[in-house]
Amino acid sequence: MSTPKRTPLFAPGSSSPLPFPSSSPTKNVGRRAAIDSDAPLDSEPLDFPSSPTGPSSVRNRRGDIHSSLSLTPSRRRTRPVGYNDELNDNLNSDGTHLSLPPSSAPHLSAAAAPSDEPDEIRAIWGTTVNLAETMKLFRDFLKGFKPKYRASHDRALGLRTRTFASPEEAELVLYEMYLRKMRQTGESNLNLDMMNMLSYPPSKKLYSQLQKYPQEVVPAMDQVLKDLMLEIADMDQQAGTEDMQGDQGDEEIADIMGKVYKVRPFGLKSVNMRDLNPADTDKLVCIKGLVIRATAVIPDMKVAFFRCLTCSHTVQVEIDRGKIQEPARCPRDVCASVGTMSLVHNRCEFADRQVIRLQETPDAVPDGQTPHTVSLSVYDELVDVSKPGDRVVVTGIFRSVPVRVNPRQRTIKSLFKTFLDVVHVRLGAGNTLGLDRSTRPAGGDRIPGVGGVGDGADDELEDGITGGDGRKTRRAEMEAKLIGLSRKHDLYELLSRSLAPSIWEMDDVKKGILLQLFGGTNKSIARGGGGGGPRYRGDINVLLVGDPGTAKSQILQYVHKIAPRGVYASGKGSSAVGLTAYVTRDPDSKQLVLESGALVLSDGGVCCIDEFDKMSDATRSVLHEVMEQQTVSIAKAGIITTLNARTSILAGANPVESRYNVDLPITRNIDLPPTLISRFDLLYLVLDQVDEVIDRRLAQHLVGLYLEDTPHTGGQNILPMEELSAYIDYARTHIHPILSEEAGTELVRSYVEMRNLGADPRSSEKRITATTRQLESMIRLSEAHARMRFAAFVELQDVKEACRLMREAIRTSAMDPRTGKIDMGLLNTGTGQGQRKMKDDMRREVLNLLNAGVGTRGIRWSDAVKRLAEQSSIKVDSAEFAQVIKELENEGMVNVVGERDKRMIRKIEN
Amino acid sequence: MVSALLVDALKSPTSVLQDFYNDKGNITGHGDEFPKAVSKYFSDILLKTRDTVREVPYLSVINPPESFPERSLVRFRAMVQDTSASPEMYLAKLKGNKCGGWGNTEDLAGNNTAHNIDYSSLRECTVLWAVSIPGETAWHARESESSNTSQHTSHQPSQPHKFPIPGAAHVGVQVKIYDHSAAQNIKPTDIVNFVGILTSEPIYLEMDSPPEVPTLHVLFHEPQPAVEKLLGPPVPNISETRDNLINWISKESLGGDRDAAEWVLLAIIARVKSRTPPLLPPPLTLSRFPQPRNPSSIPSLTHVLSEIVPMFITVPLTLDVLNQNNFAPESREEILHSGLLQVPRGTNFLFTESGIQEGRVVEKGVMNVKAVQEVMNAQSLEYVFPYSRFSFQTDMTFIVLSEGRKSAFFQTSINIPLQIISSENVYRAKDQIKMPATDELIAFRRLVAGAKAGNVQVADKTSTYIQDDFVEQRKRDNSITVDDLIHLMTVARLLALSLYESELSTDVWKRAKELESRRKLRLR
Repeated sequence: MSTPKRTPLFAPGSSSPLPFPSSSPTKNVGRRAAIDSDAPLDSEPLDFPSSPTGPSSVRNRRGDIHSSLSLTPSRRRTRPVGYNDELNDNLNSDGTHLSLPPSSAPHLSAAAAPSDEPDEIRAIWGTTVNLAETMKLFRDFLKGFKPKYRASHDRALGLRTRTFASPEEAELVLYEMYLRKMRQTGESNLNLDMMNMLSYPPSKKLYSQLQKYPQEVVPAMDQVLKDLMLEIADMDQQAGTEDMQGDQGDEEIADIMGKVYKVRPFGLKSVNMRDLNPADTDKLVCIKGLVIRATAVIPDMKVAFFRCLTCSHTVQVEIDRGKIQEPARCPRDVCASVGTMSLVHNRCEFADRQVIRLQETPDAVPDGQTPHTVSLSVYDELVDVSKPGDRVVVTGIFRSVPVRVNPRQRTIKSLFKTFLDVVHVRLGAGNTLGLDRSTRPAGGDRIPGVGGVGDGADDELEDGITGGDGRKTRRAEMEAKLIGLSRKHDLYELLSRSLAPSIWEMDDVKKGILLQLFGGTNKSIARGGGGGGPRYRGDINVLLVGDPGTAKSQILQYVHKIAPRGVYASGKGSSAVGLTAYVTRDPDSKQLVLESGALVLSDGGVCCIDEFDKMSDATRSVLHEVMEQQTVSIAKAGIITTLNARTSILAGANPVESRYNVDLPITRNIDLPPTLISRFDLLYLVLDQVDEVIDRRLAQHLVGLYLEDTPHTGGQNILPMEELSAYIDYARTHIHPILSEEAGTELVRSYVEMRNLGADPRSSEKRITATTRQLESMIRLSEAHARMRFAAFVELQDVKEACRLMREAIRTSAMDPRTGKIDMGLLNTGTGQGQRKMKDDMRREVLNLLNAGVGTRGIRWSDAVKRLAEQSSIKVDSAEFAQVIKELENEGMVNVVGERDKRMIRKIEN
Repeated sequence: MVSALLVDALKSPTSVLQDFYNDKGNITGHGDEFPKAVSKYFSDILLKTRDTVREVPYLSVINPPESFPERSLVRFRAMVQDTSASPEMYLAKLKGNKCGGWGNTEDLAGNNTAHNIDYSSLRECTVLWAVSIPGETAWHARESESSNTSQHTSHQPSQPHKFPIPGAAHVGVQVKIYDHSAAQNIKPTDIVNFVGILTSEPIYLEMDSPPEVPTLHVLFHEPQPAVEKLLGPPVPNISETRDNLINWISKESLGGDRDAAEWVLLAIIARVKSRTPPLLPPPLTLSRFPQPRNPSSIPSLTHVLSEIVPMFITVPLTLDVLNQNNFAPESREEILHSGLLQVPRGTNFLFTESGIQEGRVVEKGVMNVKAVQEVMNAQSLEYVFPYSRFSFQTDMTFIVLSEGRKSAFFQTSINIPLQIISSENVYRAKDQIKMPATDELIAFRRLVAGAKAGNVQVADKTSTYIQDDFVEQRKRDNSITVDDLIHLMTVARLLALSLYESELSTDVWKRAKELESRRKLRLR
């Protein structure tokens, strides 16, 4: 809830402020917006004599804290005459709560000398904690903390520290700056990193006090915050700072007076939800989780207002541990009627409250267990900050309250339910969700209302450390481990070896897939019409074509397991977006088959499609769109919508004749349109060659793996799957390499070289070897390789490896089996240069045949094929022949009459 | 003296607990000391001998919760269905030095709320939901139950959605374990023996009006070991018993097809041996399985296998079953609904496809098919929670009966077309099946259980033999792949297990190859 910046001097309905004595300069504006609407009711405030038992001062009432402490301000402040807008606080118009400065106060331009001692010295009951001391400590902390303390604290713990841009930055009085920022932005919440408290030597004690007694310490801190806000504002006014001169300054100060300031501590070491135990009751704890449900905003009664039906005496009762104690009798001795106190609803104070159910995230749940869930109560500004589906880190006070077993009964059994009163919410704990951040809008995950002041600079620090007692968190440990790993000289080999370790050899294939998992960076050109220009995909697509039984499916299954948002589907009978299927009787075998499974494309992940060649044409056309535009269009119920499908595709396909025919070009071996094939960055041929030595080694490997007691995985050290997955995850979220100039030059050079491969000096023919698609692929692969090294820039070595992989993949796939030369045209158009030449030859021969003239009846189709075969040294491919005839037909040179075997080819006489 | 305590404990467990509290209540520190002591005390009394625990009444469909008076001592051998309830706090010490917990509460309303609560005596207990063991076969259930069963009117389970098999009779109970730390390693689908005090208490305290359900306050519990040992004499002559078993299965349920019966035996003794590399039970399809005359007939195979395995579930697949039931557990409105596949480790499934008609499979059906396939392929099942999925390891075997050449829904690594020799109906009712002599039946059960628990080693000699064999075969026929080798090794392991051989010999390897080649021949 935001407090109105400036309110009129006298609110409608309130009478003159002066008759009301003031008891405190602070006041509560907890729910002003709601109260304004009640204004007319307050026209007779004097009808309700104030109750002597009412609280003697107004506190900063916060929903999350149910303190039993009554704090008086640490010092009295006098303010300029004419500052009267406190009166707007109709809520308190019946006197006791009025917080009006004495009207006779002189206009003071100087602040009263600050006194460190509060009016009252209090200790937290049952402890040795002296609140006055606590307040002083906190005050010192706010005025004394500098980033350098945190840096040295982190260094002592061996954590990554931020480097300061300048020496001044380290010496900055951080919180004074924040406080000024708060004044300028009208923000009333201060996010307080508890680690900062721990790193500032004088305030170390505060850390544990805050953790143990948040109920008492937080309001004390709120008080200090407000005092300091005023102090700094005064200081600035006197110093004549910009924005704080004269009336404007007065106004600002008045504004600060009218606000409720809240300290929102965070930065405790988070504990597992299931480790919360009764000993944590009423302590400050920090837990992580996934928001699964959130209620609508509930008006939560903070102060109940009772009026005696007999004598109209009024009493206010505050909530205590979630309960309001209804007065049994009128507290006034003269009246003392029993059961006459009735609640006056619209004089009660309410706060916004929302109940959230927070569930453990998969990474926190012990293996094989179901997740636990806790309730969170969030108040005021924190309402609606998190939505179902969000991952959050919350700091709050752990509560246990007795349960009313039957709501109709008043009995309360000694069963307890627990929940957290939340003081701080942080969105997006870690990036374990595993989606590619670059596919999300920038700055989308902002915490409204609270994030503004307080973190900022801490964000980066916080990334690495959330440790409370100076212990590194699991995440920080993992991070350190991953960074250590990234420095290994044999990193590339190690990672590729660790990928699908049960699969024998296929090193280059594994390397290609490894780079696919890392992915290039998504680029978009900000300018251009229609909300952003073109987007260049960073996703790398890989196609494996090969003989059955060459572990293609195993690789796909493995990648599906470790990839972020991996989806595994079989191309056979899959539809790209549909989720329903049909059981039908197969027309051929008359047996029941299930048609179409679910292929829900994974936005920001890897989609593994097995039996890619068996996919229906309709699905394939969807994939065209996915692979280049990275969107899916769905037509359903008359609505056509486009969904994002920023996914990389790893596909496996079998050759047409189930085994690869090495005598045919690849396009003839795979039953896929060339346009689709060319969209794959890497295409690997996985051929099964019978070789005794390899077979024996393979058998040895497998027998050892499957039958012996201690399965060995090739005897080498490999990374466990979780670690590999974490490594990839980390790189994908944190590393966004950019091309260095050197790398750019190398890319250009390699590309030109690759294209030149096609130029054969011995012949005039030009073959196309590489196209711009391949250049884009090279860029993506280089970026992925750099990302794998955790490098900020794409360097020479990255480009070199990318080119090597490309060449290896091209060598196996784009080699024309008849000429032995690389020809990208094979992939891009389906016809190689050699083939094209042969087609021309055939065309010429066909025309010759026809011209040789066997009369006007033309020539029989089968005869033509036979006669051509007699002339040629190579077998005449019937499909090719049909294509040639079709072309001739289109050109109006020949026409074909008859059906099937009886087809005749006739020459058209001009 | 002990027997006197036993009698007391059976009659009034609450007062025995209070007496123990008076005696030892002062050991209650901040942790679980007192609940641990309670657990030891009661298990000492009740587990004195095998017979003493049988004295404790057994909670079951025949003896449902409502047949017991409040605060009775009962035992419940159950499958844990849901551990997602948050731990509950209770006051360990009540007014008048009374023992808190185990269903003992006091009314707090009289003495003006929160302030009078001694928060330092708050303790927590684990809350979970447990159900009768799904698919437990009759003979196996008899082994653990006591004889004194009173017939009670049919029991209405309070939370039917928390049992894997829809509509099946079962008992579901809220379980509260006060020995909080000992309860930490109880996981969903674990089978646990609970002994405790039966009451009725609300569930889902977060709700506005929580319903009351039967609640078992556990005095002590014992998890059941992963591999169950059957009591009784050892199997006399393995090879003969095995032959007889295969004969019986083939004659009574597979129309005399001995090869198919052998494959069935191999399929039901399989269990998860290792996950990396995956040594998982291979699912089996019996294809060309005749259609029943009456679509609702149950194949005799169900009755036969139910006599020899401890947990067996037959799922007659229809489009409605696929489209309307949950196969994987799903959390809806924060309540974890069970699914057909949420069953204990070691459960054997039989899917029949004879009831399938042409028609539409909705999203749920597709997900269900996927879930089964995932369990078949990887022995892992995903439970669906809001915004997240949790993968649980499973260990179950599958046999699919299909009329076609292969299953319409599932890919299984073994498919054998049935070849019926005799004219006997494969859909005979249970009473028409000829049962073997009791001794023999017990030997069958022990053979199956023992084979499941067994281990196989491979000698260097065999290992080299297998390698040579593979190389030779590849030379002759290059269509033989690595997958064939892996498959054959799996079959050979199972065959050795079924023969109780602890070492894989070249003999068994050859036998496995023969079995496999006969099967391949049928597929042509």
